[in-house]
Amino acid sequence: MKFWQKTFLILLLIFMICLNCGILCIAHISYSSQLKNESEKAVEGQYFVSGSIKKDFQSLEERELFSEDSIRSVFNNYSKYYKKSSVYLILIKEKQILYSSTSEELRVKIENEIKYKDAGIKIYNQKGNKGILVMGSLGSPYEEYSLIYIHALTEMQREWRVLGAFFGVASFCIGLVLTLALIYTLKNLTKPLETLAEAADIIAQGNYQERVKVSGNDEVATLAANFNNMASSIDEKIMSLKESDEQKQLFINNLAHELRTPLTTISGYAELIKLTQMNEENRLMALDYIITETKRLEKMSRILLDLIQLRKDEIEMCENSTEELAEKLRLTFSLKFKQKSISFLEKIEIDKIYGNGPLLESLLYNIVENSLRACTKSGKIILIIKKMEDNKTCICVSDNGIGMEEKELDKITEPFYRIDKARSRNSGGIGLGLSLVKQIVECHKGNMFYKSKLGEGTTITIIY
Amino acid sequence: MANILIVEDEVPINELVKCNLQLVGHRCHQAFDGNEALDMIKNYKYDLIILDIMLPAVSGFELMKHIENTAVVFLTAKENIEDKIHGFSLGAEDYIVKPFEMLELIARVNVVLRRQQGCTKSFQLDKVQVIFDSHKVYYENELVELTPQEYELLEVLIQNRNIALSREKLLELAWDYSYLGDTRTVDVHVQKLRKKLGWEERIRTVYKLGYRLEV
Repeated sequence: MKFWQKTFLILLLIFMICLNCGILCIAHISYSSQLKNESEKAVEGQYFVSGSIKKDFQSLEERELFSEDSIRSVFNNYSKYYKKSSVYLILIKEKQILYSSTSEELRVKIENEIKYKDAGIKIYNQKGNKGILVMGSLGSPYEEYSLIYIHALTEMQREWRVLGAFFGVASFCIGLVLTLALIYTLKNLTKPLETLAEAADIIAQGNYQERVKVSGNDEVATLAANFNNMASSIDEKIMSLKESDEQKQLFINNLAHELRTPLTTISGYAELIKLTQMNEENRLMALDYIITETKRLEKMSRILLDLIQLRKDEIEMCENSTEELAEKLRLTFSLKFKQKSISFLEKIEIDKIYGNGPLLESLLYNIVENSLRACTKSGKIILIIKKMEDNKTCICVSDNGIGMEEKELDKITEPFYRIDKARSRNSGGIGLGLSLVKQIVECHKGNMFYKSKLGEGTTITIIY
Repeated sequence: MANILIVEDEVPINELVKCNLQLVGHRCHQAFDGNEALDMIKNYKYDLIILDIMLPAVSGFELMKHIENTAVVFLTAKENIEDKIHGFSLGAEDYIVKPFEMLELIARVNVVLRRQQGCTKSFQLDKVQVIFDSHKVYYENELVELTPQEYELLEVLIQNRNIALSREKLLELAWDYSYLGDTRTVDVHVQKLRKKLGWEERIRTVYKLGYRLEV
């Protein structure tokens, strides 16, 4: 059952109970007071009639006409007269009914009860016809006579029946109006909730762009606004998850390709050596290929391991000697610089550099290696390490090599992305260098900027 | 003997394919990027092109559109089904995924060539001539009686000449014995072939490996 239906039923039930209870109470009170009035009237009537009969009896006795016949005649006179106004009389002598103007049935009923009651007011109910019964003795000297005055409530009962029907119809009409008003109001009030539920359902089905229209400023509107915020943040989360998933898939695809090429070479040449007869020159060539590709695989696995390690661990930071870093770089690259007659300039303005030593070493190695690859014969590579004005460290490597186009710059940190595949491969590149550099910079919570122009050179700046 | 163009940007792999195909008697030409390949296709008619998909300048799929009436076998590291289907839908004869085995490459290339040109009709070495269509073998122009098993073994040795084949491999390739049959059967048949064709020196026993027909 829906919320609005529940509310509707509960409200309707409470209201109808209250309404009808109220009607019943009022009816009861007014019925009681009317009954009391009628009773008083009946008592007065009885008093008056019994007084009159007593007087008649007395005058009859004075004229010495007091006999059974005359008593009956007096009674008949009175009963005839009062019958017109729905009043019935019963004359009783020594607890025996003498005369009665009531129906036979009522007489029997009264007879059965008179034995217990001497005088008093009683309301009787004979098959739905109500009446007030007042009994009293005629008083001395006729104590043995009693008169029962019966006032039938036919008229009052009829009035109340009409009133009851009216109350019933009124209660029904009010109930109907209330029902319609409640349905309309509740439906309107719960409509935003339903819209919200529908939106939630749509979102649950995977359509994360769904939003709810917010109007007003009640609790439901607040809920809707919060709901929209939640949907937005879920949408964002999902998008970023999807993106990272796609990136991972791309990385795996690339990795598979990058692994397959050296593996094909290694297994192919090994098979060739095993199964065929080769001359010494070809055999050496095959072995060279095997060795080169094995080295490439080895290097790739090392960098991949570094990348994985960087993702996992909190790195240790400390002060490192810039001189030592530069010295290591010079040692590693001196031969290659000499071969390509490249001049390597250092402008190191600080003695100590904060960061993780081995990672900084790896970072510089990879950047300088890239620069070296970009440089043609007798090129120039400049390394600058300095403190910025806001106390941040700045590492800058620039070369006057072949440079890159603007559109390439966004992609160069993607794993396995290479601008010139053949050239990079020939010089031993595996396409992971800048990915590693980016990761290291992120570990140091720094930023990396590139500036490059085709044919003029590239500058990479790292600030952290 | 067929003219084969190898289009592959990885020098070691290009060289490897060339070595393999040259061993079994094909003439090989090499291209290292898309543009180079395009020029070579325009100027010369090849029997078969072995094509990498990820190439500098012009991709293998792109290159495929400029190739007419020449069988193409893709040789690539892309192993997902979409690329394979794309390759075949462009009209490729076969699709080989790296890393590949030498014998597989040769077998697939030979199948494509046979489909393409009915293959080489005969094979001549020393005093022996083998006619593939009729399964007949002549020694000094005289018909040599060979059992069907011997002939099939001979054909496998010729198809994979210069490559050492293990006894198990020979069993499998010649007679489809995929189970581990008695490898002595191979020895017996090789002895018979050597005697009948005078190839004592040609069919070499390779220590710990098997046999190789040296040409």
